[in-house]
Amino acid sequence: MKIQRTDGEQMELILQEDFKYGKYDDHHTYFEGDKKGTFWGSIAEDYAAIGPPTGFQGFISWIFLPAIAAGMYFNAPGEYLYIGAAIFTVIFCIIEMDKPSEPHNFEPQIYNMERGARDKLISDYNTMDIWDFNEKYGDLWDFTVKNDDIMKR
Amino acid sequence: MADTITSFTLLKSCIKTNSLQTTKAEFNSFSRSLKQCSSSTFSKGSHQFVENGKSNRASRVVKANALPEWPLMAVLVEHLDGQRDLITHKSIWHLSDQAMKNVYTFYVMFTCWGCCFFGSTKDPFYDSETYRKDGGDGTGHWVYEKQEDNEESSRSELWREELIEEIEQKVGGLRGLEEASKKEEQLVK
Repeated sequence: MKIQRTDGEQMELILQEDFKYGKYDDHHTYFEGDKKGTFWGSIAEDYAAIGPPTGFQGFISWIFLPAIAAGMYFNAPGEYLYIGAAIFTVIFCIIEMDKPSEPHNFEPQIYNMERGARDKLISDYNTMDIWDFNEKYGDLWDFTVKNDDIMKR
Repeated sequence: MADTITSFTLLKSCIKTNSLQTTKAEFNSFSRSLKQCSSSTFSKGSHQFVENGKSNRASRVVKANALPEWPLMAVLVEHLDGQRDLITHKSIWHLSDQAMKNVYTFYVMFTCWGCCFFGSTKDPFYDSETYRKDGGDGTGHWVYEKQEDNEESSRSELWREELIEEIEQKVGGLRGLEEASKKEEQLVK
């Protein structure tokens, strides 16, 4: 049913009993949204959300535990298992350290900064030499002092 | 046949050990030992009798290998005169050294892998907009604390301004008074 509004526009009139609560007013407690994936789909989504290691790093981290279990099953010497674990750890950590830092890799006070200043600081941290960075931003360690000039540096 | 033979050998060993006891009631002890031995004939392995030498309270530990796959089993027979025997079966389960090493190795490996893997992941909520909107300070109840801090600082600023105004007014009043008194003095002079 269409009604004429006073400003001349046509408008759909919805009766009270036809009003779909939660859908028309976007209230999630009535209507949670029609996004319905499968169970495994939601698991995969959650897994992707934690940003797991990908590529070669993901491959070795998936292969590590089965390889250890297989080695123990076939009575491989324990020394080899431990040496393998040490090599795995070193390679994994090298790959991890080569990744650019994200906000959650810093002290949580970094979230108190303004968004633009924080992004600039983190991008500088990722691109600059660490010694230059320390010279430029070294006074920021004291987060109790207000620093408003990060964008100007 | 085998059962009788084992019980017989058991009997002999029982008598041997019991012969150390005082021969107070030879037949009684004999029948007692017979009973004990027959009650423990299920054990087919090595037998070790430990006698504590007391006549009234005889306690012996029978070490036996009853279940070959169950590594160790001890049968403790406690005897009191005129009472029933107390028989306690103790089964102690031992992990082999290799099994213990395997358990600890896998624990160490899992810990090592878990620290690497989960250390490289992130908490999706921790970085999300619902948690890190502008104004948040990263705690679960940041809105209120931030709000309270803001209110507190603005309130104190307001108070300070009011105080300064008040002081200025008072000072102005005092000055006025002083000036008035000076004028009066001048007038008097």
